Amino acid sequence: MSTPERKCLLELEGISKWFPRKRTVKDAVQHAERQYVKAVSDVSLQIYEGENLGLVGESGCGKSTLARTIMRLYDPTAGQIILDGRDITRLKGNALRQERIKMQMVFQDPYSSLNPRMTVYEMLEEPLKVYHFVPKDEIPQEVDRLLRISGLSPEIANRFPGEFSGGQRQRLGIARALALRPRFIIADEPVSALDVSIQAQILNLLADLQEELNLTVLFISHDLQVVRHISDRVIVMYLGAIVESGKTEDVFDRPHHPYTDVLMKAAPSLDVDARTKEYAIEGDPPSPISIPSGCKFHPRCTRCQERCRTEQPALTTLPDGRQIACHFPLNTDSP
Amino acid sequence: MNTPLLEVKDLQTYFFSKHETVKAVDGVSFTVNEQETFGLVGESGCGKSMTCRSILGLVKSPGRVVGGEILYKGDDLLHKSKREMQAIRGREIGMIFQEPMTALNPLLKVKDQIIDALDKSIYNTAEKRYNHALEMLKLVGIPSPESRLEEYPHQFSGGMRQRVMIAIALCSGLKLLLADEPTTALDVTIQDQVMKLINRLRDQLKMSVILITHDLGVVAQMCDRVAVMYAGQIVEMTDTRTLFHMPRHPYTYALMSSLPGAAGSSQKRLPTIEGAPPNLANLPEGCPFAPRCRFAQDICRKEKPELLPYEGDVAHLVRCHIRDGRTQFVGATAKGKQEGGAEQ
Repeated sequence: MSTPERKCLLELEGISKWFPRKRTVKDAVQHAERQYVKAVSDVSLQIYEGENLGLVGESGCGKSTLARTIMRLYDPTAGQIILDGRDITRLKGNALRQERIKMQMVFQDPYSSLNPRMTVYEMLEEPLKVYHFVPKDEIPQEVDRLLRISGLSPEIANRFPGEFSGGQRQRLGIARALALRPRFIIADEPVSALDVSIQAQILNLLADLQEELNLTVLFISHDLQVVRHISDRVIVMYLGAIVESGKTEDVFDRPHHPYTDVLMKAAPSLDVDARTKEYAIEGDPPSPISIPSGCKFHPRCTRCQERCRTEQPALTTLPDGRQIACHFPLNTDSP
Repeated sequence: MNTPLLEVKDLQTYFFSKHETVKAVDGVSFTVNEQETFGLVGESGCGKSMTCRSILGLVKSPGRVVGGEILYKGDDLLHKSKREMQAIRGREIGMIFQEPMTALNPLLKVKDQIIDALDKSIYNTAEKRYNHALEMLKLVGIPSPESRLEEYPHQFSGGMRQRVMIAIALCSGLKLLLADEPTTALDVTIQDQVMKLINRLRDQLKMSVILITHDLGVVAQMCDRVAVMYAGQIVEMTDTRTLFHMPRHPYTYALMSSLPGAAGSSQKRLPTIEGAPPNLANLPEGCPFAPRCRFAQDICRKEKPELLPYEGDVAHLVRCHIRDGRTQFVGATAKGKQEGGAEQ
């Protein structure tokens, strides 16, 4: 779908986010160098207007940190965030607040992300009031509209979040994110905490809203099937860096990076006749404090060779627009 | 056929409060054979965890098992004394939980937690106990077990903690393992490892497993037979192959088709099950699934259906009034989708 002339809404240039570790007394005595948790390192990406970009990876791979850095909830250690042509990396105060209207977030856990002491109406009215987004007398209509487009009945406005089921709460979370009519939504694992039958309802709602409101969505998930269903393009992250990106069908049908391949093999298949006894992959992901030398994936990779241990593969763009960071990629003629 | 290891007959576990009675488990019957993995699938609140807790005698007040039988090797567990149940729990029947961090004691070394669970009359010296603990860690595939025994739970990753949990559960030679969503909190690659570990241990130690999960993919990969639960009752029970190729209950079918993977990537809208599961304190008069069912007819709203063999097949039980061509059609489309999915 992504034609070259489509407008780039958000651009990240070499974004890194390192969290310093606490210095212990031992470190101070030994004059040890300060250690960092390298949650995100040197990530560059573009998100085009109207697309749904999937971001997948295991826990600890930095996908949520990246989302929070984009929202400027964290200050990036290095790099630039360009939203709609404007560099927002160093914005502060009111200028930042004005830019934040354009982007909103939907969180994973619909139980802890809603204030239990605010009614639905208060919750949806708050952003409208704070930003003087609509005239005061139009606020009730606006709250009605938000509830309606999120598939909720306007009659629930005076109830508390505690009275609702997980699926309804997630709809409320979506309604709140849409209050300021953002152009860009970051959905961080929005369906992971929901039951299967409810998950399908929320995915449909997100797809509908995206089309109706021409939203751009960064959809973060660890569930490959969900991303495959909803996203136009997909980015796979491992230990804070992008290892592969491309159009969803291409990446899922012919994964180039061994890690993408492993992720797909590890997901339990619905095919009862295809059971294997071998692990898809051995071992745990390494800690982001001591990232392996060379290719970050090499200690777990079955195709690992000498070069992988010493030389870090660069993220290269293939002629068809896919990006891959691997010395010996799969399913490709020209490495 | 040999006698089943566990036979649950018409189990009823209710929760009582001043105003209402919640029927968390409402007449559940199933059997688990030797060396078999039996799956209990359903959404949250369908009673699958409560069924397991009832088997172990772990239902907390205000909940109570009010009826039925739980025959383990022919003995009714519901008539055992507290002391007798304690001897069975952990020795014969063990359980592992979803959240491996909260189930382990953060203040004790892993070594001590495994040794705690050992039978002191069999492992009567400290050396024997240590050696057995070491062996258990090796069995569940933890690298460098000697040094890992001396560590605390927070030094383990999620997958490794779940392995420790399994080691503790298995260290007394269990016959039956109850696994309550054992892989839900884990990443896919780790989930894959733990699933295959449980499969391997089941064969190696000749035990049976009851696997509770909401994930149909996990069921497809692990279970021999499955029961699908809805609102405290089993709505369909059969072997795993039949369930995936020919689901006969509208709920089973709807669950399967609402999965993004099953519908095929070309379809932009997922088929959904409208509405939410019913309130267990206030169930509808007829079939509890009727308000959400696409095929519901008048009889469904008036009469509760029985769990009966489908077309005379005693190994395939379905709780549904509609047994004509319509459900057959439902099954056929699901089969087509499954095969289509396999080709991709």
